[in-house]
Amino acid sequence: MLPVISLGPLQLPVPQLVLVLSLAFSFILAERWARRTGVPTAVVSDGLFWGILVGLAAARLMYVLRYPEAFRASPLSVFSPNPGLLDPVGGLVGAGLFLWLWGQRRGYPLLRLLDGITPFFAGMQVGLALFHAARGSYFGMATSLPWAVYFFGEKRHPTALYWAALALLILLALHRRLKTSRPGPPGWVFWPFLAWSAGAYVFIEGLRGDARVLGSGWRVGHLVALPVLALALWQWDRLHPAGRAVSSTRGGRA
Amino acid sequence: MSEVMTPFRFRAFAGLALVAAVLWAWFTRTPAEVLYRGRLPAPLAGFPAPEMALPTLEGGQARLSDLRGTPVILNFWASWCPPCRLEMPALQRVHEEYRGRVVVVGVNMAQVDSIEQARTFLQDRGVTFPIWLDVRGEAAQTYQVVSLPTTFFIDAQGTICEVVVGGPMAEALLRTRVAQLEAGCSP
Repeated sequence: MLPVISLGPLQLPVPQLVLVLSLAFSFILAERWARRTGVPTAVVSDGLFWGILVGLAAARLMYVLRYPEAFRASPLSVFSPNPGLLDPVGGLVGAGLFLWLWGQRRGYPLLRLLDGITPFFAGMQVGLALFHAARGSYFGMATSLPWAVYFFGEKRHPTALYWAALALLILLALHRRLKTSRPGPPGWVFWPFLAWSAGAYVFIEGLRGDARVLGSGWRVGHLVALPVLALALWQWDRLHPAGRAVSSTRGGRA
Repeated sequence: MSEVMTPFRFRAFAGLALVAAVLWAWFTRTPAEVLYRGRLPAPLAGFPAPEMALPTLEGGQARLSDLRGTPVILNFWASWCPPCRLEMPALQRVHEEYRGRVVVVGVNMAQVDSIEQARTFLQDRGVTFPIWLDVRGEAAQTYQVVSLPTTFFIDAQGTICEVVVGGPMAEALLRTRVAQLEAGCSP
């Protein structure tokens, strides 16, 4: 756990600092790798910029709609910078809807846009894992393995570090795919990334000590990640014939 | 990967990966009681809140375990800390509105604060919820408080549901967390 860095009178919470730095890093990464995904850099930059803004607004709006009483009593809280007042699912849905509409107007299908933005997701995945490692959350189950970490009275799997390592491997795999392949049909970057990430998540979720579980013992994370993995593999498989046809022509729009 | 694999090989590989994932999910099913069993008190979400016994501003003595059975919002603060001062009115309003349903406790970092200044500040702002004095800094050390304010949301069973480092917290955040505390986060 690395909660705070003190720089004179300034105290910087490390987990939040990691998130902000990874946001900047991922944004730059997405811009630099955009061309290789088949999407112009300007489209990726604009889409990301507005997508993040709309996503944040949607996340706050959904949170307000979930707890209207709390905001009726203190309306100014709507503008609070507290990240605890955001609904992540609402934010993702809002950003996705925005990108879909925004892309339609510019002649880019959503999947093509997602291809361009995938390096951003890959960078943020590393940052999110490091955020959890710094915050002490996402800790693992008890174990006697030699690399276990001592965590509040027990030796445990360093699950946040496993996730960071796998996320880094996924980032490298993505880099290799972009470096060695020509742009394919819409989804050629996004679906493999989603399949790798869902697979990594399924593995890590099984070792988590702070997982949400149902009465039967099933982990909620597994029940979400398994269908996502199946969908991503199925869609990746569907890229095969079209992928060969398109791979010979380097181009942006599908 | 798909570029160097035939469709048949890819499907075989994907099918195997999916079956392995389902089996892994099946074998790692764990009842909540097993996940939480044997956890020592620690200042972290999901762990039992460590015990603390401190003098109060009124001159009495208070123990955290005496509050078991009611959700607790435990706020570490100091009178010289600007965000702590800013979030005090919101904490006071929550204390007034949810009296009997949730207990708000302010732990003053008396080791690094002036008790008289703290008392004056509380009187000026009309703060009436219990204030405990961490005179020797033991509670701050046990709860690993390294930044002010730091707030622990503890459910009725004594499990820490969330830790918020920094502030000021919005009033709506406190109100939504009260609802979540009442639902509880213990297994």
